[in-house]
Amino acid sequence: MQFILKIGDGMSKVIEVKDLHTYFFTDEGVLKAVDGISYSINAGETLGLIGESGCGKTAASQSILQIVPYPGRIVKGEILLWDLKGNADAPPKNLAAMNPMGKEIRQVRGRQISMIFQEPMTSLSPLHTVGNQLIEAILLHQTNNKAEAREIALEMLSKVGISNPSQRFYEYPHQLSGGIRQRVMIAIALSCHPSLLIADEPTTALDVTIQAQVLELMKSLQKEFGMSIQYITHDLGVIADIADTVAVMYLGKIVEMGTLSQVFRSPMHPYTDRLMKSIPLVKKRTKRRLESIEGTVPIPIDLPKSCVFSSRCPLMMPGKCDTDAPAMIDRGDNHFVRCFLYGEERETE
Amino acid sequence: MQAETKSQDVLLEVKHLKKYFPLKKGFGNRDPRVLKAVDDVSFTLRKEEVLGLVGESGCGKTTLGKLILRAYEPTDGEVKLNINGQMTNIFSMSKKELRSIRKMMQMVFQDPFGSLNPRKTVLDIVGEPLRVNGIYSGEELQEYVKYLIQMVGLETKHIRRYPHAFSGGQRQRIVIARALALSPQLLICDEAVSALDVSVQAQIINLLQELKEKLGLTYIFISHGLNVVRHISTRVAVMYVGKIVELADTDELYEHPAHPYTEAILSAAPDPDINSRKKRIILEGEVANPVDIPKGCPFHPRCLYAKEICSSTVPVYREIRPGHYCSCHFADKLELAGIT
Repeated sequence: MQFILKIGDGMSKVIEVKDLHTYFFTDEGVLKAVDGISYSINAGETLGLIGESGCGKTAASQSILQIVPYPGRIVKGEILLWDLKGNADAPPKNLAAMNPMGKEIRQVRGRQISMIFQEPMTSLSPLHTVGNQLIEAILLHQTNNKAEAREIALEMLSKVGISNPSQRFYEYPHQLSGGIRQRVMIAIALSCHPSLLIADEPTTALDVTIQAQVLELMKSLQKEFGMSIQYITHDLGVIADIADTVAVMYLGKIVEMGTLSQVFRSPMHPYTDRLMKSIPLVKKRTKRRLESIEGTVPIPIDLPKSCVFSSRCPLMMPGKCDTDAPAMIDRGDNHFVRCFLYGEERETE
Repeated sequence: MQAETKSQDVLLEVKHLKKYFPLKKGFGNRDPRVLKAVDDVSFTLRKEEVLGLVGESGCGKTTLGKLILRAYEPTDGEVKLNINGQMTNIFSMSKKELRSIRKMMQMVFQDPFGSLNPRKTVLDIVGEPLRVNGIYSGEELQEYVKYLIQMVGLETKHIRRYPHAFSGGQRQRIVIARALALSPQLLICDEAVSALDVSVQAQIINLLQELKEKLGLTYIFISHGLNVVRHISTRVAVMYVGKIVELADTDELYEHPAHPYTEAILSAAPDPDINSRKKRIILEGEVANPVDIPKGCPFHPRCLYAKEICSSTVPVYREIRPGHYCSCHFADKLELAGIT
């Protein structure tokens, strides 16, 4: 099923994911981490990918850079990347077809697409200085000249708001606080001016005042570099702050997608709706009892054909939701939902 | 106007509590610096209230929780517990006396994976405090464990299973069941829901509230989640490098904060309400280091309203409005933005 979803109007697309399937071939069976997702991101835009444990958002992001760990791999679909800095008329490259260990994808990683993670301590090498790690990326993609690379590195450190960059240059990750480490990660990720930054829960482990700083930083750098961001998190408050478009994932599928305003103001899918109601607000005292979702996320191995959310959906229609899988439909104005409450279309395998 | 607290209503009294950790440097080189984890904290905890404790890294909230359970010896100060109407300092109790009062206070930690022994069944884990204290054994023990398990929303068939068979949320329920085994009066929840998925957090928060009503529990709820704290707490204390900088009834604190730091963290808290696009206060610099606390008011280097007095004089922690405490030189003069 070729299903193209376009959000945003007239701007150039940076990346388009088409019917992506990423499965893990485990001893217990085939774990369908990503089971048919499609979306695109335009230049300068931020897509917020929301989902809880087991929804597949991390596997989806890993798929883009072909860093899906064993025993997983992409089994179907395309990931099209446009080179907006090069020849605008050149056809996009399909990342899904590239060899994960090959030269082609290595040219993309760190240069056209960069990724930052939640735990900067595990992403940064404890044995190398900040400067060393920053220079590595620059020497790989931009210049051979060490002196020049150092200049660029210092400039990046300054740009991400690190004071005393020439001193920090020689420090090791363990000497830095969480907020500074994350800034270093951002500096490394942006050093080669990628067109797309994939951020996987980058601020979750940070203190709230530091999180606010880092989010502001990401937004201003995004403006400056004209960069797109795929921001993955379960924190709806952060999404409200940073995203232009939103995709809600559940058990390997996108169940709802649209602009921030559409999804947050008028959520359609029962999961999106319940998710929003289950979060207490800082703003005002919510009702005594939070609306929670019954049960837990099932493991996506050998699941019978049904709507992915049917086992926990308060509006489940027996005979329909538990026997068939709904297709993604456009409810007008590019606000998409995958739910039988809104249409009869079934997913075709 | 706050009613005078009678001694029967008070469960805990913390008085000028301090916990300093001296820093060590290898090979006998004495590092004169000291980590002031808890630096002169005082408050009263009433029965059946939920005191939310918020603050960022290094503020001392976890150390404070552990001090109250006497997991640490204090550097100074007292923690008085209401035992049969008498306020008794737990730090002056003998080991034997302590053993009996430890049943009154239990802790629920953040990590549902690390808190449970992977080699023990649920029956063993939840039953251990009962067995060790000679309360139940054999058949009665099993029955009581089943009762506790059901109270936290799990099924009795689960008692023979091992922790790895459960999800994070279910494990946290097991942790709570174990904490309730000895019928405590006080539960200290240290980031008890932070590691859980959002929808599971809601389940556990609802559970904690139900249990509180059912069993007449008192909670100290330590968390960095300002939204969760608002939902569950009756009063909230904000900590910054070892001190309480503000303490008030929940709505009062969130809507009319008196301390600039409270204003800043409320402003920084992510808000899923896209209708209210507020202007965020973005603080400069890093959270203060408890090893190297700035002179005067510890918050002054980052404070938007700091004046000269702030860098030289430590502000006094005082009651600025009935039931509303704050330590800021300008506490009743600033008009700070709250969240309504």
